[in-house]
Amino acid sequence: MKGLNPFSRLSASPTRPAARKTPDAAFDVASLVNGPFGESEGAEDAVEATLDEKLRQAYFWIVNHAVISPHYDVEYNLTAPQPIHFGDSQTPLYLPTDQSYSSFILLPLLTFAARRKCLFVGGPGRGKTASALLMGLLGGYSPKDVRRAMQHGHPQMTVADLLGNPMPMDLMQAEQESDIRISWRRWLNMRVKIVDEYNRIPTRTQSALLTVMGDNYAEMFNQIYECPPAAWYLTANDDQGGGTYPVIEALKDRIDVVVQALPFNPRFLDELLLRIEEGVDPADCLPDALQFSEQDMDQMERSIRAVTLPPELRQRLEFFASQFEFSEYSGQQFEYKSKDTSRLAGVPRHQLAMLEDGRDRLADLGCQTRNGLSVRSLMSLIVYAKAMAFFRGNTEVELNDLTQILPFVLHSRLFADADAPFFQQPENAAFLSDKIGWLRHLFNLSCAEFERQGRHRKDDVAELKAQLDEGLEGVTDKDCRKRLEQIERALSELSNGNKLSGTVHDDAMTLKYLHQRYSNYQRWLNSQS
Amino acid sequence: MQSDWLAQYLTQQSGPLNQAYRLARQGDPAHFANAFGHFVQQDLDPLLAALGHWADACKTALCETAYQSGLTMARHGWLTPGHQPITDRMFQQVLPTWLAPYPDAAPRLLTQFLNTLSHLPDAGQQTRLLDYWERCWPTPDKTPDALVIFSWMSGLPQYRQAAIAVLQHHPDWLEALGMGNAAAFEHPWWQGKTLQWHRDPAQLGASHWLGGDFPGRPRLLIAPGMTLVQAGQEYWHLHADAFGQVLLPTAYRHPLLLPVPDCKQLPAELSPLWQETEMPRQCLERRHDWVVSFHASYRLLVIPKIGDRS
Repeated sequence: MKGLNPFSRLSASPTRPAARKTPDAAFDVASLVNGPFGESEGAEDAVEATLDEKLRQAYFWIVNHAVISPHYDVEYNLTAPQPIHFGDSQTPLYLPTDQSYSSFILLPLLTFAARRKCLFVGGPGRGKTASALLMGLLGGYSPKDVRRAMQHGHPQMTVADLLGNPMPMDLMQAEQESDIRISWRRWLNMRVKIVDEYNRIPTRTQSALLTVMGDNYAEMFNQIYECPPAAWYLTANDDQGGGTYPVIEALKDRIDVVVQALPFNPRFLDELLLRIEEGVDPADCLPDALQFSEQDMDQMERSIRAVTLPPELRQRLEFFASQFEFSEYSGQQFEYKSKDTSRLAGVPRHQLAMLEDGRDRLADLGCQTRNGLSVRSLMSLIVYAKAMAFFRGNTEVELNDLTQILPFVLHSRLFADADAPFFQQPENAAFLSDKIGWLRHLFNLSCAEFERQGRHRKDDVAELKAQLDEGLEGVTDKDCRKRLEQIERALSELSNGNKLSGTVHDDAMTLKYLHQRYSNYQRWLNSQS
Repeated sequence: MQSDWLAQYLTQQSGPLNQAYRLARQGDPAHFANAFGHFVQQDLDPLLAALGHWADACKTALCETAYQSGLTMARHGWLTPGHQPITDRMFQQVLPTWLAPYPDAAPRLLTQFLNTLSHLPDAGQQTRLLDYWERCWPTPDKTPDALVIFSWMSGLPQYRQAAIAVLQHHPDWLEALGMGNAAAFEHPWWQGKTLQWHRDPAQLGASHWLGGDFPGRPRLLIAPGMTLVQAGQEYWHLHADAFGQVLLPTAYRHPLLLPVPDCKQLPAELSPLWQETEMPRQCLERRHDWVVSFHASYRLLVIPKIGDRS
C-alpha cells in the first residue's frame, strides 16, 4: 500500500525557500502540476533533495509528526521582533520574523549531521529516549535495531555488559591473551549510539565508556575494536549529579551539547489522544527518503567542515572566550593568573574576590563564572555553529548562529558563580536557574562590549598576529626590529589606563608570543650573517 | 456499490485504508466521516465502475491515488457542500471519460490534474477549467500543455507567456474553444473570437483593513518587462490580462527597479472615463493598459486600453 500512510509523506516544496540560491524570477511552468496532491510519478525522480534540504525535511517531519514540541526557542529574525509583555515581571514573548526552531529537535539533528555527542536532560517521560531513537532511525536502522542497541544504564552494569564478552571456550584454551576472542556487542558498530540514563552507570564502566566515546575504540583482554565515526546520544534525568553514580568529569567534558527537554503543553493533548486511539507510533513510520546512508553522513560532515567562519565573527568569539579564565590574584606570574591555578591549589573563590579592588565586578563578565572555557568546548562551539549554518542552507556562519548555539554547547562547561554581584541584582536572579538564557545574555553582553571598544573596526593585536601569520620568509632584520617596536608600543598602550581584565591579559600574552617569535627569528638572522 | 471490484478491494485492504483515513482525519470527526463517505460512494465508486474493464493492477494503482487524493480533498475543503458539485462532476463525468483510454498513466494524470486545480482558488475558476477540458479531451502527451493553457484561461495570468507559446501548436483546441487566431492573443485583453475584448477595469489589492493584501500604501515600481507593487516591506508581481488579474508575492528585486512618480492629475485619455470619487496616487501607463494606485483605500485599478481608450 505505497503512499497510503500520511506519516510517510514529505512535502515537495523546499523547507527554507530563502536558502535556495535561484531567484524566484526563474519562472518554472512545471510548478503548476505540483501541489497538495503530491508528486506525479514522472516528477519524483527529478526531485533529489540536497543534504541540507534533506536534513531540514527530517527536522520538519519530526516536528510535525513524531515529537510534539511546540517550542521555538532557537529564534531567528530578519527584522526586530515585536515583544509582547506578560505578567508582573513584564516577561517579553517575541514572535520571530524568520524561520525558528525547537532546540529539543534541532540540536540532536545537528549532532547527527556533525557526528558529535549530545546529552538530553529532563524529567522522566519527556521524550528524551524517543528523540534519541528517531536519530537512530535517520541513520538507516530499523526501530527494532535501534531499540535493541540502546544501552540502558543501571547500577550493576559491567564493562562486559557494555562492550562484550570473551568466548568462554577461548578463556579455557587460550595460551596467551591475544588468543581470547571477544564477542563484541553489536551497538559498537553502529553509526548512532544511544546510552540511556548514563548517570546510573557505575564509575568503572563509565571509564570504559569514556574510551569508546573519546577515542572511538573499545579494549578488552588486550583486544581492540575500532568503532566507526558515530553520533552519540546520552540521556540523564538530572544533570546535577542526581543519578546513582557521579559522572566522571572527563566523560562530561566529552559531551558537546546539552539539550533540555521542555515541558509538555497540554493544549496538544489531542495529538496524544490520536496516537492512543489509533495505536500509532510515528517512530515506525519514518519515510525511507529521510534515511541517511553512510556516504551521506560522510558527505554531510565534510560539507559542515567546509562552512566558513568569517574573521569578524571569529574575533567576537575570541573576545568572548578571553573574558572567563583570567583571575588577577590567582598567580604572581602573568601566565598563571587563571582560575584554574587557584582551583588546582584549592583556594576558595571568595578569598580571591576580597583581594579585588580595581575592576568593576558587576561589569566584568569574567566575574560571573567559576571557570574558563576549555579548548574542547570552543571546538564544539565552532563545529555546531557551522552545522547550524549548514542546516539553514548557508555557506558561512552568521552571528545569530553563534548566539543561538552557544548556550547549548556551554551549558555544562561554563558555570555561574552564584556569589557574583551580577546575580545579586533582582532582574538577573532568574539567570541562576535559566542557564540557556544566562549564556545567551552573556554572549550578547560580550558582543556589545566588543562593539563599544570598537574592535570590529580596529584591532591592533589581530593585525600584528595576521602579519606574523603571513610567515617570516624574507623578513629582514630591519623589518623585524620595526615589528618588535610596534609590539612593544602596543604592549605599552595596553598597560596604560587599562584595568587588567581577561581580554587585556590575553592580548598581552599574544603580544608576548609575537615578541618571542620575532626576537628568536632576529637572533637566528644575526647568527646567519 | 456500483463497482464490485471496489467493494472487494475496500474489504481486502480495510486495515491500511482505515489506518490512512484515521491518520489523515482532522476537524470534526463526524463531518470528516460524512464528507469522505460521500466521496467514496458518489465519486470513487462511479469512477471505478466506469473503468471496470481495466486490469486489476491498473485499477489498484488508480484507486490508491484517488483514495489518498480524497483524503487530501477532505482536508482542503473540496468535499464541503459548496464545492461538492465540482468534485462530483470531476469524478462522475470528466475523469471516467478522460482516463478510460490510458490505464497505465491514470494515477500520474489524476495527480497532475488535481494539483493544477488546487492552484485555482475559487470554484468558478475550477468549473471553467473543467469546461475547457471537456471540450478538448487532451491525450496524456498533450496534458502538460493543456494544463498550462487552460489554467491560464481559467484565471492564472502568470502562465500567460508559457500558454501562448504552446497554444500555437494546438490549432484543434483553438477551434474547439472558438478562440480564433493564436496571434491575436498578443494583446492581453483579447479573449478570443467568441468573447472578443475584455473591457472592464480590474480591481486588486486594497488595505488589510478592507480585506486586501496591503499593510501600507502601495507603490508602483517598474523594471524592464515587469510591474511590481511595494507595500511595507513586501513586494508583489502584478499579472493582469483578460483571463485573470493577480498579485503574486515575490522576493525578487530587479536591479533596475524604478518607482513610478506620483501623479498630479489624471492623463487626458482617462479623464472622460473617470467615475471614481477617490483621487489616484500613481498612474502608470503601459502598452496595453493603465495601472492606477489610490491613496486612501490602497486599491489598484487596471484599466484596459480598448477601442476608444487606446
